[in-house]
This record gives sequence, C-alpha cells and structure tokens, in this order.
Amino acid sequence: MEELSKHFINNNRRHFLKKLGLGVGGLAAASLLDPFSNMSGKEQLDAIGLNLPHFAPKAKRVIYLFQSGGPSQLDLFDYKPLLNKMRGQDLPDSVRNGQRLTGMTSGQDRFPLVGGNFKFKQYGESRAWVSELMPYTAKIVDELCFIKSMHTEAINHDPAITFFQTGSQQTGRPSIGSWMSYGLGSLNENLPSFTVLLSRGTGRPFSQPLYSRLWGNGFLSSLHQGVQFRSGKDPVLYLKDPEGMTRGERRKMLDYISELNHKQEQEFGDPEINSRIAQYEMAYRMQTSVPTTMNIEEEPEHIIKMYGANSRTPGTYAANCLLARRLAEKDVRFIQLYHMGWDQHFDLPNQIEKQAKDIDQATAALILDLKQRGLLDDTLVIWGGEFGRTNYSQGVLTDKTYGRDHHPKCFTMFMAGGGVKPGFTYGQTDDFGYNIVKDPMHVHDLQATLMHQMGIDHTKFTYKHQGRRFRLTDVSGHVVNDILV
Amino acid sequence: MKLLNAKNVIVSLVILAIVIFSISEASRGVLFLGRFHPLILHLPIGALILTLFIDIVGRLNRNYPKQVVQYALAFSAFFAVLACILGYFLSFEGGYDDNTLNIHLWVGIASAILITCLFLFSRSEDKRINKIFLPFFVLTLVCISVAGHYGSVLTHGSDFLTHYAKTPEKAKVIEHIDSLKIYEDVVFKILDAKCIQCHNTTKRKGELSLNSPDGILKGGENGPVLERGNAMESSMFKSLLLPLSDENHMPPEGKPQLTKDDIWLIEYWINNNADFKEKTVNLPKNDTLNKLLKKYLVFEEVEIKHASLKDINAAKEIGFSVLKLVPGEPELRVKFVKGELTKEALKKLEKLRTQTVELDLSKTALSDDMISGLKVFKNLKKLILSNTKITDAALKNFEQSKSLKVLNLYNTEITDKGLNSFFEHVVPEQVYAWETKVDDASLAMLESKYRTTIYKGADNDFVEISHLEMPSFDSDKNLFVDTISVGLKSKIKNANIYYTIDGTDPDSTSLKYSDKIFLDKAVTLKVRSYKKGWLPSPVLEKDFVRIKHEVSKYDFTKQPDEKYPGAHKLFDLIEGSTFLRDGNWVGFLGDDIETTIDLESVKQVSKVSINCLEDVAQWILYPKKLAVYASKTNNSGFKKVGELKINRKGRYGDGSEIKTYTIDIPDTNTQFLKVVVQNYKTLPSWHEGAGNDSWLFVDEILVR
Repeated sequence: MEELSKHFINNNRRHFLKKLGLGVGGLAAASLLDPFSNMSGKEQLDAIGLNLPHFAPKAKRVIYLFQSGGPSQLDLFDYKPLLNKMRGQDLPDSVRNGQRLTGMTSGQDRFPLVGGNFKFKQYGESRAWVSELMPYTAKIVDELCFIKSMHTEAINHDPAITFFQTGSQQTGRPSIGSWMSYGLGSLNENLPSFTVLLSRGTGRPFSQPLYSRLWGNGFLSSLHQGVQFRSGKDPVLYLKDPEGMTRGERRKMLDYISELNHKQEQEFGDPEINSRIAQYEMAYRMQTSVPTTMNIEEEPEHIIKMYGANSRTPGTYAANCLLARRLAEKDVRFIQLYHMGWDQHFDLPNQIEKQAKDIDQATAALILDLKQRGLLDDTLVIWGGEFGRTNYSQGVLTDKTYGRDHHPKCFTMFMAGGGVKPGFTYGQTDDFGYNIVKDPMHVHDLQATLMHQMGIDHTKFTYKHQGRRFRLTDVSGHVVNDILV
Repeated sequence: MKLLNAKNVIVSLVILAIVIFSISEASRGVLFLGRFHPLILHLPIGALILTLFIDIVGRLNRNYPKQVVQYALAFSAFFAVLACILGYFLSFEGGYDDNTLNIHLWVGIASAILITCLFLFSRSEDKRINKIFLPFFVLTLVCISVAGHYGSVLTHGSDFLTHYAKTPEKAKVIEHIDSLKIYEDVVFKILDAKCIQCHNTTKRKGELSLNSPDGILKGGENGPVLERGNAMESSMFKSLLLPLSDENHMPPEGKPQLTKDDIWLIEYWINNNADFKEKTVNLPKNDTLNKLLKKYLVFEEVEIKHASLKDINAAKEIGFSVLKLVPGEPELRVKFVKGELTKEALKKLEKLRTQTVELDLSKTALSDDMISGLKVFKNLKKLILSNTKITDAALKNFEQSKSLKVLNLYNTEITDKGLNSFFEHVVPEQVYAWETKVDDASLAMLESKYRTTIYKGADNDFVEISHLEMPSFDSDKNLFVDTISVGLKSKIKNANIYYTIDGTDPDSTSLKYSDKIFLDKAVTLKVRSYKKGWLPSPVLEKDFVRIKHEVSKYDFTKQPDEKYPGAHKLFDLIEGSTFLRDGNWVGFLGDDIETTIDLESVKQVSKVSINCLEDVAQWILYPKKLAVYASKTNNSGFKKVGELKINRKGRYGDGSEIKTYTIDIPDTNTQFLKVVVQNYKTLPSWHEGAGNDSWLFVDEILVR
C-alpha cells in the first residue's frame, strides 16, 4: 500500500500541469485538422508542437562514422612537410602558445616535432592530400569534403566524445541521433530511427571503451535513445521471444500489457508510459525487421569484395559499414558507427597502419555504394574523431617510431553526400600543423551544419527541461555555408 | 518673455546662419558636426506634430494654451535652422546625387523659414493672421514631408519607400544556364543585393555608383574601379578581399557580406573581360561556374494547393507513406512501404498528383503496365523507380514531368535508348543507372549531349584484387588425448581450403579440405583458402598437442586468487587466449603454484608443459623457476626429476604474450607428480609497481 500511496503523491502539481498542457496541445492539434495527426504512435508523439523540418532538407539520413580515440590527422590527411624537415627539433613556444597539455605529456622535458612516417600524394581532380595509409579513400577524394580546421574544447576522450555527441562536455544531454529522432521522427516504423554499431580496431585492440550514454536520450523521451545492433547471435539484446513462445502469444501478451499501461497512463498521466507502450510495439515489429536487415548473407560477392573480405566478419568496421548501408536503404534516420582504437600514444606508425586498414576500404566502399544506389544525395556521411593528435612525439622519438598525444586545436574530418560540396577542402592549419590559420570550424559549427542539412535551424530547435531551453549547439554554432552545395 | 522677443530670435538666427554658411568649409570638425544632421532633424518634426496636436485639442476644449504653442514653435524653429546648417555640413561629404540634394536643401530651408514664420504668427494678435494660422501650419507640415522624403531618397535610395508597396515584377524565366547573361542575370544581382544600396545614382558613396554599366565604368573618387580582364587590378574586386577590419573593405563591417561564391563569380566576370552584354554560353566553361550559375536560374513558379486530409489518409491506407516536405507547405513526399503495389493503388494516388514532388516506388512489384496512371504527376522533382521490373516503356509516362531533377533507375531493365528518347523531353540533373542495360559506351555520349550526370556504379578499378580472409576453426580446442577431428569454415561461400600437417605452407596442390581432418598425433596444422577472383588468404596456423594422460585427480597447496579462480581449469585442456580475462586463465598473486597430480596408476611420463601468460603492464610476469618432482607413493619420496630456470631479459614486454614451458623428464615411471611453478613474487625495481606482489597466470599443466 505504501508503494501505491507514493504513486499518488507523485501525481503532483507538475504532473497535473504537464497533463493539462498535453491535453490542450492535443486539442489544438486536433482542431487544426492536421492531416498528419493519424501517424503511428511514435510519429504522433514526435509531431506534437514541433514544426519540423524548418525548411526543405538536403539530407534525410546521417551516417556518422565516429573514429573513437582521435585519429592522427598528420599521418592521414594534413600534410606538413615542415615537420619532416624539423624532425626531432623542439616545438617552438611561440607555436604552442601556452596550449594546455594532457597529463600524459605535460611532464615531458622536450616536445620533439615529428612528421608522419608515411608518404603523401595529391589525388583526384580536387588534388586533395592523402597519405599512403588510405589508398581507397584516395580514390574517392572527389566525393569528399575535407575539413582541415576542426577544433574542440575538450582534451580527454570522454569529455571530447561527449561534446561531439551531445554538444556538452558534461554528460546528461541527448545525443545528436536522439535529437534527430525527436525532431524529425522515423521514416520507417519497423526500425528505430537511431541505431548504433560498434567495432574494435586492430591498431590498439584494448583501448578505452565507450559508454552507452553516448547514444543516450538525455532528457528526451526514452523512445529516442540509440539502439545498439550487436554482431553476435542476438543483434538487439532481449528482442527474441523465449523458446516455445509463439508470435501470436506474444501479441496477446503485448495487447494485455498495453491495456494495463493505458489504464496506468490515464490515472497518472506520466508521458513516459506512452513511450513505454510505443517501445513494446516497436520491439514487436523489430522482431521481424531486425533479422532481415542484419542478414548480410544475401549480399552478392561483388559487394562483399567492394567492402573487403572483412565485411563478412560480424562486428568488424567493414561489416558495420555494410550494415549501415542496409539501414540507410531502410530509411533509418541516424546511423552511428563507432570504431575504437585510434588513441595511439605510443608506437603510432605500427598501430595506425593496422587501424587505417580496418576502415579505409570499407569507408570508401560505403560512400560509393550509397552513391550507386542513389542514396548519397540525401545521406550525409561524416567521418572523424573527437580530437586530433600532436605534432610532437609523446615518449621517445626514434627513427622508426613515435607517439602522439591528444590535440584539440586542429584536426581533420571529412563528409560526403547530403548536400555537402564534393571534392572540396575547407580550412587550413599552419605549417606546424598545430594551429588553425583559416576558416576554423568548431564542434558546434559541425552540429549546426549537420542539422541545417537535415532541415533544422539549430537556434530554433530546443527542448525545455528543468526550466531552461536546451539546444544541441548550446548557445553557439554557425552553419558553415561555404561547405554546402 | 524677454528672451523670446521675436526680433531677437530672428536676427540672431539669421546672423548665425549667414556667418556659418559663409565661413564654413569641409574641415574634419565640420564633417563631424554634419553627421549630427540625422539626429537633430527629427526634433523639429516631432515638436511640430506635438504642437499641432496641442493646438487642435486646445481649440476644441476652448482652452487655448497660447504660451505653450509659442514655446514649442520657438523650439522647432531653432532646431529646424540648426538641422539646415548641419545638413549643409553633411553635404560636404559628397557622394550624393546633385539634383536630389538640391531639392532637399532648398525644401529644407523653406521648411525652416515656414516654421519661423509660424512662430511669429503665433505671437501675433491680428485676427486675420489668426485665421490663416492653421492652414499655414498644414502647409508647413507638407513642406517638411517633402524635404524628409528627399532626405530619405538620399540615404536609402529612390525605391526604398515603395519597395514592398509595388507588386513585384514577374521575374523573367531562365531555365538553362546557357541563356543567363553574365552581367544582367548574375553580377548585377550580386551587386544589387550587397553594394547598390550605398553606390547608386542618388547615394554615391565615394562618388561611385554601381547600378549601371556606365556608373561602373566611370569609377569613383579614386579613379576607375574596373580593369577589364584583370580582377586583381580592379579596386571593386580588391576591396572585397581586404580583411573585414580594414577601413577599405567592402561592404563595410556590419553590412551583409559577399559569400565566397559571389566573390568567385565577380572575379570570373572581371577576368573574362567584364562584358555587360555577353551570355554565359560564350564564356569559358568550368564546373565551378556551372554549379554556381544554377542558383541564378529562374523557374516559373507553380502554385500548389494543399492536399485534402481525406486523400492523404486514403493513400496511407493503401500502403503509401505520405510526408510533408516542410510542415505548412503543400509539397509531399510519397513512398510505397506496405503490402503489394497494384495498379489500383497507383490509380488512387492520382489525387495527390499536384502535391507529390518526390515519389519512391522502389523495391515494389511496379511494372510497365501499372505505371500509366503516373502521367499526371507533373510536379515531380525526384522519382525513384529502382529495383523494379520497369523497362523503357515506363519512362515515357514521365515526359511531362518537366521539373524532374533526380531519376533513380538502378537495377531496372532500362536501356540507353530509353534514356536517349526520354532526355528529348526531360533532362534530370542526376540519373542513376547502375545495374541497368545502359551501355557503357553510350553513357559519355548521353552525358555530353544532354549535359547531365549518369551514375553507373563504382569504377571497376575501385576494388583491387584482395586477399581472402583466413578460414576459421570450428572450435578453439587444440589439446587432445587420443584423436581429434578438426572442422574448418570459410566466410566467403564456395572457397576452397587447403592444408598441410608437415609444417610447410599450403598451396593449391596441398591436401584439400572437405569435411573433417582427423589427427592422432601432435602436429602444426596450416590452412589457407583459395577462390577465383581473390588472392589466397594468409596462412592460418595452429599447433595441436596430444596429451598422454588426462589429469582428473590433483591437489593444490594454495588455491588461486579469488579474482582469477578455478584450479580445475589447469587440467581442462582448454587454452586461454591473449585476453587475460577470457576465463581460461588462473591467477596467483604472490603465491607459487604447488600441485600434486595423481595419475591413478604408475604411468610413463616424458614431458610436463606449462602455459604461462605475461603482461607487464598488468603486473603479470612469467615464473622464475619451474620444477617437477616424481614419486610412486603419495605424499612422500618425491624426487626432483626436472627443473627449468628462467632468466629474465629486458624489461617491458609487448602487451600480452603466452609461452609454453616444457620440462623434459625422460622415461619417468610414476604415479604421483609434484609440479612447482615459482611466482616472480615481488615486482622488480624498474616496474611501476615495484615492491608489490606480482601475478602468475597459468592456463594449463599438461602431462605428456
């Protein structure tokens, strides 16, 4: 009885007002005879009060290939011959200019400059510089828009990734995919609109892990949290019916639970109950839609070859890229990949070679595969990590090997499709590859631009929580029009 | 009232005006004062209107505040004259159209005089003057309005006031970039949006007007601004490139700036002789130009009505997903998502024909005979028919969809002939024709003839021949007692697997794997897959070890640490991986392993092997020493039969590594074996955890 009375006490002023608000909002929507009010449960929840998109979007979906750990821009894309010339000499103080360092190198007596061990060449009509580590990416540079001038505020992994994903270094805000799911709703009622795929790199196999809060819904309804698709037997955990249970029985059970939940909802008015009902239904539909989506057996051999032989090994980046394309074909809004292992503090040349091999062919193949299916036009592909790496060596610099520490002041990302200029390079770093000299692009700028391509004005898309309106871009961010078609 | 003596005021004002007009010249101080003109001029206007209000209300209430009116008019007159003087100063700055300026000047002076007269009238007691006072007041206001209007023409341009009052001219329709005129349709539009507000015939900042070819050619106060054929020598271009903080940067800070594309187009125009008449078709082409020019095309605007709720719901019921492109706008995005597409379903969709701008019928049972109903979808911008059975005949139905931009036909039966005849009517910007019957050879022809882009899939040379992946073993098991059957599988279908057991690398002449491999002795199995069109996989190698005696009875003096427990795992014939938490490793913190094994009868033993793991960073080190003792009776009479001392060299290892230490105990007949594996005990001085207990990790003790 105590539990029950607690429930009643919980139904307080705030709940009452919320319920009232929803009721009035619902009435208003109904009176406008909105033709889109009879959407499926999820869409309907999304449609309340949000007039999105603000303008016609260029991109319908996003595939975000997150390179967790911070890939070294100096060994992949940002060619700095001066660093090779000055190899071993100290980083001038005038260049570093008091930039804070991580605890991992702040104790170093010297900061010996080091260029990449890898040969760079210019490729394509756009003459973009790419190192020999990325031969397949080099072939498709004319599809890519390189941003050489990304910069961030965080210097350690967790705050930096959280910053990229949620717009804040502190945890607790919704991930980009959750914002998109909340704002734009789903295009496919059988699959979640925000899916997550994880892979571990071979460069540094036991690097720091990722946390599911990175694809969490924060203060948004839990409908919008990212759903992780795993590589094992059960792509989505706890989705399968237990042995001996038929789909009919499951249906009956869900109907009964839903009835109970509706009663509960009417009594307490907690909107989270509606989310729960919708999630049960989504899970039921996913029981059939997920296995067909995850079944890469049906991919023909020439596609497997395109993504590389690894794409047949579940859980690899290549396999995830192939899955990402399959999810994009099914109109999943936001497909988030994470590839771990770019955090190469020591023995970088050796590790990055393996790591680059993991992703090079599959990334390029994904972009070309989307293109040949006509999907690249309205799919924004983003590749990049949470920060870059230093131009000086962490640990001892030898002829063969070196390491690089975290560097937030400049790093390279690339995008493709979704209304972004192909064959284009934006921004420039200095000859030391330490500071940005032209067209800096902040994390919030990237988020603002991403939302702009999805038809959202980032300054108007807010959610009120604990008395304040929150935005993915917080109080800053500009759409970088120069990289848009 | 002494101060407001009429004579005093008039005389002093006239003297002040004459003195100032005669001595003033364009010094910096004067120019500075001139900028106060826009501020001061509003004072007399406001005061005058207030006065009129007080005057009328006073008359109606029969309580005329004569003195207030007098004071107010004196105030107005004073500031009207001051505004005239400051306005005169401001005109020294130049850059204004002379005609307009003159009108403004003289009407302004007239207004000041009229206000002064009004003031004088208000003091008069004459009945006649009192009669004309109000009409005169109105005349003054009209005069001020005219002066004000011309003033606004000077600052904002002649069409500022009426800009939104006029019905906008219907823009001339230009649907192809070749028919754009580079100046009139492109450059002028940029200048008009960003420059002409300050550089026009009435407001000529820096003596420069950019609103006509003549004005551009004439240049400004510093001479010509345009050097045909050389943008870097043309100051109208150079000033765009200066840093925003530079005083000469144009447009000035705070005004809307030119985008990079705008700047590119202006540079292009100047470098190509800055012609005012030329069409773009006669100018040197490049991709950037074509891309940028597209923004300047003007299409006929078609007004679309909102679809009715009923029609939308009907379409949803038959399996279409209908979404608005933007809420509040009529355009719809339609996709078939549920069930089987039928001719009737398409027929019902016709109700949404004008609103549908994006239609996706991919992966449906769409066929040529179902599609005829789609003829009426004339506003389509994006049409997706991929993964269907349609042929050239289907395309004919869309010849009226003139705004089509994207056409996706991948994986259909379309041929190049079909495209060719379709392009005669409509040329979309992008056509997807991968996995169709479109001939590669005619692709280039179609693209150049119709200036469109046709995608036919990734280039063949994208995929370099790559290595197959290694096959994999069905199970991790590699330790066995009598025999073992080994199963292999390959991820790529129909790959052939070859293997050797003699230590040589397998090739395609080696033994071919078909079902299972049976092993009855210790071997190194090497396998590799082959398939046509792929390079052979790397060699996969695995050691299989035959154990002589399986151990089931054993005893430990010290049990393993509770974090890595399970002493039985040391005899379970399952090896651990380099992942130290895989559950197969047993850990001892600071303790030695001391185990007594009971073989249950006297047996012959020749080797004992112990698998150890080291990961220095995890405080796990290889053992210091291993020793084996044998005895035929339990608990007594143990004699040392073999020993292995390990000399550590070097410090840090490279991550996790595994070593098998084998101790030879030739031809020992024994029932009991005591195996002692000595822990490194204390982490050495060079280690970060120096002085602490070290870990000893073992996964198997094998009696061979």
